[in-house]
Amino acid sequence: MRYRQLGDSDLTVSEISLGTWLTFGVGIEREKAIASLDQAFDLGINFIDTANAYGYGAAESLLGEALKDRPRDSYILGTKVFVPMSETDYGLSRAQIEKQLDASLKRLNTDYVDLYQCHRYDVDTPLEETMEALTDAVKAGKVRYIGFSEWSPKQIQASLDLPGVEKFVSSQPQYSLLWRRPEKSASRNGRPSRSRLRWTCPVSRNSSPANHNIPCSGGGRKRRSFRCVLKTGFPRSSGRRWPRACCRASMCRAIRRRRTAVPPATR
Amino acid sequence: MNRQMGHWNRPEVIEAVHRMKPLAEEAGVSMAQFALAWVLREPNVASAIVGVSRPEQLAANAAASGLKIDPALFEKAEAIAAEIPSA
Repeated sequence: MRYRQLGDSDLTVSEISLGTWLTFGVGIEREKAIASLDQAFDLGINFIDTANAYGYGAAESLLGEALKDRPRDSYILGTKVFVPMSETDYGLSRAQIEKQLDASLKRLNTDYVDLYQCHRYDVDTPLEETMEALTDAVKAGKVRYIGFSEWSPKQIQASLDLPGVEKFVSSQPQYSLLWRRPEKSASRNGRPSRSRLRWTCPVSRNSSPANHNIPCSGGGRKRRSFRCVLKTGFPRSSGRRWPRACCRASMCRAIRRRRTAVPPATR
Repeated sequence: MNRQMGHWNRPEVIEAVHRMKPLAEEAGVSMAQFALAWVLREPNVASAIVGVSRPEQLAANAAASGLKIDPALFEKAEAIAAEIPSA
């Protein structure tokens, strides 16, 4: 197994990592999940990715149990927040981040996660509130690094433009030979194809490049490579979706906001 | 995501994937390994996250790390994928 650095973090992750969506705690038998985890360690896999919403906590609970006898520093653990856990618990508000992180830590049977990721962007919460809550989670030692999944270049840039908050180190988009949209985001503004995935590279701990398509490079600044955690493999069925009402309500609010022309940075 | 799931199941996508099979064979790897190696060809990728239903699948997937595959084969696969009509 080979390893690569995760963005600007100190995390060195295996090139192949173990995901738990639709499998751990829900799709496959417990014994098979635990055997897969053991197998992962035997193969040199050191990064395990989950989310609070996978099996509505079931994936995290199973991991918490299966990992309890392994030294905490022998693996890198990532989880996520945003997707509804109930009719009222969803999104990236400060209250939700605090509540869901504590619930995740309890299920995972650990004091901290290495990577805490925003599962999607929350149009209903001001970005400042989300980033400040994540920053406080890092300061409290509950989270080592933060990341996101499926945010748009504009949303990423807006987060980087906020002063005094923790910067994202990872992006987890869907990406494969059949789904190359993350690359298209890079060329949308007429950039050459070389820019490829670099739209996700603006994340440089101490700098915030003006143009998200040419991040981490240029101007004599040392190029700081931003690496993405990428998801491959597509499951057969997506199981229970988040409540329709939530989606609708959130869409309506988003539309209303757009009509009242609130600048994206203040959303 | 549902929209994307529909995307994967379209006959033209399935057909395109079948056309990629000889490329993986030429490289001497499985289709899954070929797909993972393609993702890992990108230096800005740190890791490819895989889900498995059996431990054996994980061993097969892990073997994609460090694979050296002729970039020409990747280009052919990309060309096949590019021909898939959008839904």
